[in-house]
Formats: sequence, structure tokens, C-alpha cells
Amino acid sequence: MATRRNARPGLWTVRGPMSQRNYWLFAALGLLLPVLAWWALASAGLVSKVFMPGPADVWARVLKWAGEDNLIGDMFISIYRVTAGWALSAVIALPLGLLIGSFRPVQAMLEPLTDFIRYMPAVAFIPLVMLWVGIDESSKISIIFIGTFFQMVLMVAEDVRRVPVAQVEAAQTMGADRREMVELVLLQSAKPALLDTMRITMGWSWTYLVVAEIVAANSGLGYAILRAQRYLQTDKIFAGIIIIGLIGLITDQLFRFAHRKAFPWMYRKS
Amino acid sequence: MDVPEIVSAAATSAAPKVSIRGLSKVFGEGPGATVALENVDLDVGEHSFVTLVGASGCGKSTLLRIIAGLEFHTGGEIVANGKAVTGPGADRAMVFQQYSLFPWLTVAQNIRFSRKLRANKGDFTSAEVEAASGRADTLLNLMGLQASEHAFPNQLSGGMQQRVAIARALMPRPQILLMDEPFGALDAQTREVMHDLIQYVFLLEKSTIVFVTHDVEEAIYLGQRVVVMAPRPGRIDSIYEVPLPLQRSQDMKLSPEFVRLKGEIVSRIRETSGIKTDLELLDKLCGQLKI
Repeated sequence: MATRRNARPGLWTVRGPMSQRNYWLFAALGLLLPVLAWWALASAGLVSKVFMPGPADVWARVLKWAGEDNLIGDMFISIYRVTAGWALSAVIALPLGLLIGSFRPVQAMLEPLTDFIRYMPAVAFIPLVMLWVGIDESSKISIIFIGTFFQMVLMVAEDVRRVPVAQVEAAQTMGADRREMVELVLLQSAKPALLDTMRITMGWSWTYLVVAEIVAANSGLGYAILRAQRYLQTDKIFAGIIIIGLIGLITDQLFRFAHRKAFPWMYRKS
Repeated sequence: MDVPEIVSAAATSAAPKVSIRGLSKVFGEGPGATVALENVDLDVGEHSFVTLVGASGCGKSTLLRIIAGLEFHTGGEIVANGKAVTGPGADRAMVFQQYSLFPWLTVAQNIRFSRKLRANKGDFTSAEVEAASGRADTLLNLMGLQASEHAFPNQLSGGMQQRVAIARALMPRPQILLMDEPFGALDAQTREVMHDLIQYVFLLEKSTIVFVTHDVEEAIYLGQRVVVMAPRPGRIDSIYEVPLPLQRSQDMKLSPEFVRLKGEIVSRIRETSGIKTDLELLDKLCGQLKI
């Protein structure tokens, strides 16, 4: 029997290899198919345009929004709110999570409390936030902060706890004191995981945007979506959702790029 | 039962580097507590190489970790370098089985890590800085790591990673080098190379080494004394002096003394482990299967 040379495992082998070209091919397919299905459904005329506008209608709406209704302004104010809420949350969650993950007493004191608050729906805080913070920009940022912060703290703490014990003990036997342990070992070792946590929580911040823009907003993507609902502008709802999705996708890729740049040692193999 | 002759464990000269008296360790409290170590006495003399072997659960790693200060004993006394052990310290370096390198630092930075700790505290002179830099270069050379100086740990093979780990541990000139199955994850060939390397380090650096392993051949080849430990509760069963010259070579593994000692220790460990193959049952099964 002749042996086959260069026998490659097939495309459908469990955990089989895949060429870069095939990967992009399938990725493009995965993105195109839903759009095609959407287009087919809309143009078949089975569903009223009020419920299901086609891709062309949505695109036309995007252009109109950009030309007449200040799409860029809505995008910027939303990006600002999300980034501000997320950044504020990160500035507090990073040091706090580092302490929770490093010191047992801090963990015992803060983790059950955080776990408890985490289960409270951020939306339910809206009346309180309006009462305490008012209805200006800071209230929207506060809602995003409440929705993001408590999850973020716990994830940061978990990232720090996942630092391999052997690394910690190696540093101890080299005479590292507490401060050096946290700064030179735990923080450094957890950094790649922390950046991933920042990337994931950024996505969550976007989900709280629409909620935050319920609060007496008169601008922003979330506000535009809510207003479009009032006037049954389904195409604008579609446009808003897709734009938020695209911004999220771009942010995610930026984070991944930063990850590769910041931690080259993770990607360099011999 | 015939217990093998126990050779005196007392240190030959001066005060021992590690002195352990009536040491015990209990994990947990109440009815769920397990005795990991009971009444352990051991002296490790200066510039000596002691290996700890035994069946799993005999507490050999726990004993090593107590010497390192990473685990606390619950009874008895332990003195290292003339001081009671209360926690980890730079005088007792440790080499772990794996994953202890800092993956975000290069090989050279890993080796210099202990230096960085000192520098942080600001207590060093420029002459010391120079000496340290020379020390790092010496260790890179000694371990054959010059070419990998700027590589990151995950670019290296397991054997090379352990070389870095050893160099890093040696950097601050520790009084005692503790090794917890450092070659357990390496393949047989790499392990042989590492054995000769650690021998070389032992002779050149005049280190005091306590080495934990489950490989009896490794224990005899490296150690001047082999401490056999027994489980349930973890304790020292017997201590064997290795009748080989200070400097070892691979062919000694075939010498009659080596083979005899290996046989003795292996059977001693088998006896203490309480694990027996039921030969009668095997015979019966073989009979049924007509083998």
C-alpha cells in the first residue's frame, strides 16, 4: 500500500490545524451569512419594514443620521461616557483588586460585600443616582461605573490570585518583602490577564450605555435608539445597534493589539 | 523486620547548617487533621549534599518546604544558619520543579532578580554592583546560558528553564540550596546532563544542598547521604552514607556498591510504603487466563 505523502488532517478533524487563509474565509462567511439572511428576509417582503428594515434602508438611515442628525456627535458623547465610566472603575478596581488578591484580610473584608452588591441590578440604581448625582453627565457615567466596577474588582482580584504559587514562593525564597512581592511579582505576573479583564469589562460598559442614556439624556447612541423607538424608526434602531457593535469590535481589536505590543514575551516562541 | 544499619547522621565538623530536632507538622485541626511529619531529627553539615527519598506522602517535600520557611512546623525545633527558621529568607534558596521562572523577564533579568530586590532596598555599594554583574555573567557561563541571555523563559526547553532557575537561586550566594524534585519534569537524557551540572555546582560553589527526589538512582548519584523517609506518619526511616568518591561520574552507576545500595534503598522504600503486589491473586488470574 502506498503511503500518502504530506497527509494533512482534514478541515473537520477535532481540534485540527487551520491555515490563516481558511480562517479568514470562515470568519468572512460567519459575518456575511447573517447579513445575507437578513437581506433575503427583508427583501422577500414577508415582513413589514416597520419590523424588519433591509440593509439598504439601514445604510440610508446611517447616511441621513450622519448628514442631518449629528451621528458623529452622538458617537463621541457615547464613547466619552463609556470610556469615562470604565476608566473611573478601572482606576479604583485595579489597586483594590490587587489588594484583595494579595492579602487575605482585605479579601475577607471586601469580597463578600462586593459579591453582594454585584447582584444588585445597576438599572435599579437609576432613581438613586438621579437623586444623589443629578441628571448631568456625571449621572450617566455613574450608571456605567456601577454596572462595571463590582464585576471588575472581582475579576482583577481573581487575576492576581491566579499568579502561579511557584513564582510567589520563588520570590519569597529570594528575600522579597511584602511590597516587592506585590509590585514586582504579583502585579507584573498578572498584567496580561489584567489587560484582558480591562478589554472584557469595556464590553460590559457598552451594554450599560443604553441604560445610562435613559437618564435625561438628549444625545448619544443609546438615547438615539430609545428616541427612534418612540417614532417607530426601526431602521435607526438597527443602525444604532450595529454602530455600537462596530465600535465594540474595533475597541476589542485595539486591546488585542496592545496586548501583543505590551507582552511580547507571551507571543514569542522559539 | 530487619532494619538496615543506620549510619550516624551527626555532622562531621563544626555546627551543622541545618539542625532539626523533634520536628512535627500537622495539617489542619480537629478530627480532619493529618500528621505530615512526626518527630524528625536531621542535621545537614556544611558543604554536604543530602538527598531525601521516599514513597509519596512521606513528607519529604513538606520537610524541605519547612527548611525553606514556606511551611510552618507545628512542633519541635529547626535552626538554619544559626537562626531559628520563622519564614523564608535569602539565605535559603529554593529550586522548584517547574513554572517558578518569571515569564515576563529575560533569562538575564530572572537571574538578576534577587539583585534587584537588594537594589530596591538601596543597601549596596558600587563595588558590590560590579561584583554582582560579574556573578551573573559567571552563572550564565556556568549554566551554558550565554546564548539565551536575552531569551524569555517560554522560548526555552524544560532543561534550559531549570538551568535558569538554578542560576537564579545561586545568584545571591545562598548558604543553603534547597531543591524540590528540580529534574522531575525532565526527560532521562536531559536529567543526566543536569546531574553532572549540579555536581559541578556543588563542588565549585561549595554549596550545602538538600535535594528531594522520588528517583533512588538520582538520590544516590548526587547525595553523600541518602535520607529515606516513610509515610503515615511522615518520618525518617533510615539514613545511608553513599560509599562513592566526592566527585561522581556516570559509570559509577554500574559499580557493585552503587547497584547494591540502590537495591537496598528501593526495597526499603517498598517495605515502608505499605504497597504490595498480591502475587497470589496474580497467579490465580494468570491461571484463569491460561497465560
